[in-house]
Amino acid sequence: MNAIGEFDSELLEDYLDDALSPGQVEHVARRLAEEPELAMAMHELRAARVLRAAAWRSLEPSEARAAALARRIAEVVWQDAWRRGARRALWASGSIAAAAAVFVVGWFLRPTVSPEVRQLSHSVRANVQPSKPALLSVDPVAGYHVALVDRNGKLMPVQKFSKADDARQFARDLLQYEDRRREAEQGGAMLVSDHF
Amino acid sequence: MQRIIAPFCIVAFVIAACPRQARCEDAPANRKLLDELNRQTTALYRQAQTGIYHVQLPEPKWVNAYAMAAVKRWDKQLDPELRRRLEGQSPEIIDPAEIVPPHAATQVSDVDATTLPGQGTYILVRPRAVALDRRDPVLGGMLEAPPATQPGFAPTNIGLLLDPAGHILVPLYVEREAVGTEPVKLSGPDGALVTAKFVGSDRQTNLTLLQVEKPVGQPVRLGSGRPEAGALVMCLSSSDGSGHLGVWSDGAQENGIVLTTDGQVAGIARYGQFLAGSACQLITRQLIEFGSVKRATLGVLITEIRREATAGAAQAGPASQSGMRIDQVIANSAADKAGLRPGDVVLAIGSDAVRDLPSFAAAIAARNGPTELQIVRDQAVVKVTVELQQQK
Repeated sequence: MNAIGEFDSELLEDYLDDALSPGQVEHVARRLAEEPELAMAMHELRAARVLRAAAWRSLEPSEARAAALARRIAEVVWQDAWRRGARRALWASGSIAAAAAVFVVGWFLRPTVSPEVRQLSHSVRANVQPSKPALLSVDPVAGYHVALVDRNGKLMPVQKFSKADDARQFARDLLQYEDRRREAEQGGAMLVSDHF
Repeated sequence: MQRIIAPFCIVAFVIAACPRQARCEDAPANRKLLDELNRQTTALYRQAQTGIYHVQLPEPKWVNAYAMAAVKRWDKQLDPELRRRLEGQSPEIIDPAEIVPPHAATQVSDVDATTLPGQGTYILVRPRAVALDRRDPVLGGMLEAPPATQPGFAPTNIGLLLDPAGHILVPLYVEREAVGTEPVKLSGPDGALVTAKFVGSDRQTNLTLLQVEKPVGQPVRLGSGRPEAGALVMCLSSSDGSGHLGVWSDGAQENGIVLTTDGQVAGIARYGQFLAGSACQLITRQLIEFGSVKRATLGVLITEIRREATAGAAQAGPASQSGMRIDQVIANSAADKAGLRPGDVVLAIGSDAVRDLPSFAAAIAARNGPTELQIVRDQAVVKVTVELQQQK
């Protein structure tokens, strides 16, 4: 390119791009006629543009190749989507399996009232249950209930506790209460200390 | 080869089995002793049953206070409705809890102690093996009392017919106010449902006396002392009258009526405590006469000290004997005036050895006026005379 200024170079580019106003076009045309260096620069610029366009055209794929490329891209996109779906399904099934395993382990390790209550399941009368098992560890306000059941299976009033240990202790005390009552009625309680 | 060996083996097995069968057929000749024991046991049991009533007593009031002491720590936060239910009825809960010895010197295992205001200290002994398996240890079977089949009648205890007047002694203390004016239901040896009136009861010997109008059966014969250690006895359960044979060893595992082989009621055993038949008779006489026991006031707080009855303990001296330890002496009382001190252990009142609280209570009830006590003080046995004054 001839040694023209940057301003003139941009002006010529705009001229070729038809980006100038009619007054600017007339001005550029007059200068091209009067200034050989500018005319030469315009010539070189047009040639460069032609060469560049030819080069671009040589690089453009054929319609068949473009279609093949589009198909290939579609395949890749579909495979990627399938892989993502499969991955999600894998995660979901893994989560379900883990939850099931945790449930089974938790079921076998679930807390019980006491061995003595478990021992006579047909006549269990005291039980300790969190009122909201799901909130057991995060909502102590939900509390624990110790329920009494009479010999006909009818639920008697319950005693509420905020601590599991208190509820268990109360259940044990209730068992002792019943133990004392039954044995004392049968003469199993002995007077060992008294005033005379 | 196998065709030869297989029949040979069968024949050999039959030959080997035949003598065994023969030996079994010979066995009855060697069971005469057991057969005789069986006949004697059955006769003893049947004889005892002729003097036994099955009694439906109301629940003693002290039992409720004793049971409620187990949940006393929750007193302030106990749900009112729950409290009402617990105090009113038994929800039939089950079993074990912590076991706390009432006193370090009281060598009773598996006990649970409670002191009731004005009613002394009770301990509860859990009859684990006895309650779960009442099979006879000798015969393997169980001597069952006839079940009560009358509707609306659920006996809770047994009573002993004492005399032709129809007095029935129940080995459980029930307050007069707990019985009220309602007649007590009971079934006699013939199974017929009858009613009885309340005569009286004594808390310290844990006895209640009833009376039926027209008694049936044969009054029991009351013995005068403990069975000899190692003697064969029959023990009838206080709750249902079922029986088992056993070798007497201070009655630590027994809870019920103890019969000797001659058919006498030796006394009432409660896991080591023993109230002799003669003591029962004494208490009964006072209940018939006064409606209560007119026991002299000694002026002491005493606690039962139980020690293992072993030959070694006997040789170890008086300090190793069971007795009643004096924990407190009331000022100006008969005990105070006689010089009794806290720490003294009473071994005998007069000629009666007092190894436990019921026998102590009976011995005191039997006496009036100057009475000699045999006590252990500073490892030595000393005698102290107290002036007992029977209540009017």
